[in-house]
Amino acid sequence: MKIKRVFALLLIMALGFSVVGCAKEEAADKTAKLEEKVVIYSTHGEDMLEIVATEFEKETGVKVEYINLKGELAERVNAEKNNPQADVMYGGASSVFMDLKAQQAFEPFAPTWGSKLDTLFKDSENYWFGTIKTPVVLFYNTEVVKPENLPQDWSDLGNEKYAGQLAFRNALSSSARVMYTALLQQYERKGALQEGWAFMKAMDKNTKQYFDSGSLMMQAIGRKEASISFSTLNDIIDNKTKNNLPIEIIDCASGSPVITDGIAVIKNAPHPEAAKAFVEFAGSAKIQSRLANDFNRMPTNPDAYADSPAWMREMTFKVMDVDWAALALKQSEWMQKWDTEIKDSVKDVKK
Amino acid sequence: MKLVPKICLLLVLGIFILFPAIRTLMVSFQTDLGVSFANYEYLFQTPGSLIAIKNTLYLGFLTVLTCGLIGTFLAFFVHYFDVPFKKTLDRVLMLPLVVPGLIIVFAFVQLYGESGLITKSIESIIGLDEPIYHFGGLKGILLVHAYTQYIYFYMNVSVAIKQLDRSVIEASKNLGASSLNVFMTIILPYIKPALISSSILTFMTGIGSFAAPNIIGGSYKVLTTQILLAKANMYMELAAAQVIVLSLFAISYLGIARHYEKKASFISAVRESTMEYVKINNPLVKWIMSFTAIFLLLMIILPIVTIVFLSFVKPGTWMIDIYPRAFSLENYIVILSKSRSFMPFANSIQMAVLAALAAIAVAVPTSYIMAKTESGTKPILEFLVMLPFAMPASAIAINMINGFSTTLLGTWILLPLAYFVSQVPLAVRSVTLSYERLKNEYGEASVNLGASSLQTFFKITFPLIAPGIWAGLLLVFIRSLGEYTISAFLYTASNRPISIAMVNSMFEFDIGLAMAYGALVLAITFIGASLIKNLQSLVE
Repeated sequence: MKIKRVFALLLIMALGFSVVGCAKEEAADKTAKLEEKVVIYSTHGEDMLEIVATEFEKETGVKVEYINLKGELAERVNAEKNNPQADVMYGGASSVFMDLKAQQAFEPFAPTWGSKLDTLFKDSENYWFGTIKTPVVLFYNTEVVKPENLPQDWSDLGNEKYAGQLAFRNALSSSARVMYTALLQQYERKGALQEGWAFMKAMDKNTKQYFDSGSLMMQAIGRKEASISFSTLNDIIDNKTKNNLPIEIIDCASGSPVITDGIAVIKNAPHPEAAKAFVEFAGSAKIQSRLANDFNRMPTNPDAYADSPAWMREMTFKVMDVDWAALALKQSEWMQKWDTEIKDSVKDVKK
Repeated sequence: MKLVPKICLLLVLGIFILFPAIRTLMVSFQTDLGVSFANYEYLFQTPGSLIAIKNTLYLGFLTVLTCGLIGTFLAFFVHYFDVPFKKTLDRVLMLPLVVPGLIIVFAFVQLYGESGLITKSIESIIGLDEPIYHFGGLKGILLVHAYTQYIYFYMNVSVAIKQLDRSVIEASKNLGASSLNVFMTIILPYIKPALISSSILTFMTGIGSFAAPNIIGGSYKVLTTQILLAKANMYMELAAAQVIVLSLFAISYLGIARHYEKKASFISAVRESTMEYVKINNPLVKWIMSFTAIFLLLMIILPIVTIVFLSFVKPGTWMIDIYPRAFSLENYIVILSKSRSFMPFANSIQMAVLAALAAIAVAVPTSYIMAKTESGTKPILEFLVMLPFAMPASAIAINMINGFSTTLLGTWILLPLAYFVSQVPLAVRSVTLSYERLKNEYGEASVNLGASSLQTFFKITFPLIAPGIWAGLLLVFIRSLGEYTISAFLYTASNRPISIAMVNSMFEFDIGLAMAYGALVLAITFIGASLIKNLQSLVE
């Protein structure tokens, strides 16, 4: 039965493979000053990440690896806290950054452009900084909904007359997570959280479909499967101008939440120096205005405003008053409840 | 010396298969109040969560039923009757086995979705304003399952039918038995073991399915999607409890079905004569059968053709129109020329190769022990390698996270490791089959004639089991290449696989690019599948 010796050999070979796989990963990390690469966990679209990454590589020679984790970003960063694999968290609402700061997931770092920002857009202890302002806005297909039938405010979306007309993103979208919780917070502040959940249920009843993908949702609105939805303002403008969708925004009476998309260095990052360099780079006026012009992302850095697209200075809409710090504490609990008890509840019961 | 490889094997399987599962079990009892059943109480007491649990079971049983009916019907249609285009039909019917589920979901959305090519075509032909059906929810998921999973029934029942003894059927008919009688008393007992074993696979994939419920499920909540949401909401303990519930369902079904399978199986007399197909003389029936055959071929080929067709859609041109108008090679050029777009492709191939090598490295010794020895470790090994078979993909992913949260989570290796774990049973099966065909006498003769055991292995044993090894390698490679569920939980910046790149391209208004990735995966899997087929014919 010496045959088994051969099997042992095979096994050792296989294990060897996996060890080589690991070793290769770590070898790259051990250079001084700016490390060879930097790993970015993000909520931003890949075409935008690619531009920032390519520019950063050109300027520093540091290789950038990135992934768009969308609504799962916070969980990933938190889950890897004991053994961080990423260096920078790029994107995600300030509420998420506040929550993760409390979980001690970040390393404080003050980029040079940080001092120019309004205090609204940064952490007082330098744990995170905002690089993009992202309004989340209600919009409609102008060929389907007549102006007189438009909802005046978010609360109108629970009205029966919008049954089957709404199409939203599900809770794996980071902007949708902010939207649903921000709406609930409006009710909670009035001391009427129960009323808020009732409204969420009514709105859910009117919702034709929840989409896992922003493009499929926009496609559905473009093809008139549904007519009213919400999305980030840059997404709406992109689809209106690049894809020629007949859509317009609705200026809700209680306003639209404006997310501050943040950036932070992750604590115990494997490539700390490159991480700091990336933060310095991604928030610079040069990159902020590039993203403003190419991707309609509104800058937080006042220096970047000057050469931003005209609409950013002209467009006026009411801003929803959101208490981001309070939201940070409630987000997970509320979204879990929304997923299990609110979303699709009525439709399931009917079946 | 004999002990060392065995211990290595047990260690590898114990660390990567058993330990993570036990960790998940432990995590599922962690709550804010210490160790308790609170997570399970929440799962079974919250109405929304209870609905997801019920839906999961309901979906599992409906999938078995639907696929059972379709697969059995097709098996009889092709292998019992004298149908036109028999060979082509049989080949095409096997196609869905190698097409990744995620790709099918996307193809179905583009075909049968509310604005799908087929939906809109029917609408405009009949002149309706409303779609005549709604694709999505339970019906949509079932349609995808039917397409991807009838194959288990089809394959197993086809084999059983080929072994049917026609003379017995003729005899009983001559003795005056009705067709129904013949079916119930002769044919059904023959195919029953095939039906039961197919239902196991179908039930497992049915309750563990993630791509379909996640992308087209809409309001239909199932456990697999709730697991991802609980995880995104940072309720890892709840996700663990959901995984345990899901795995328990799978294991229970496996146990019950195995029990009935043993009862139903019997050894039939060996029969050398080839089965004659039942001829159909009625021209109307003949015409209907030809029509059905063509319709089936179209239904199965259409999604695959759609993927290839849409991969040529010019980027950014297809948001409002129903039919795409502008075509180009741009999507392929982007993948092949831009290193960032090519990376997912390279990553997936690298990880699939690694998973396949690791799975075979474990499968060769394990299968040997299982097929050729009666050692005490045999039952333990058997349990360990078959455990992943009873765990849905999302369960395996969550297990890996719980098992290696402070060591490997977020590193490159965790995802290929998880592919390896999920595919080990398949590799073991493939290799075990070769060992069972291998007669002990060959090896003994070789040793008696003075060859060393090393020589015996490489000159005698290896060539004989090689087809099984190659088939196992290719199968694991193919199944890992387009894998989506495990990838969605475990991918990281350094190993973003092709399935995730596909989904992200869909998210970012790049349907053509997503389909081009899909078409490339299809091309590779088809090449792999035809290699497997050749290897199998080599064995026979």
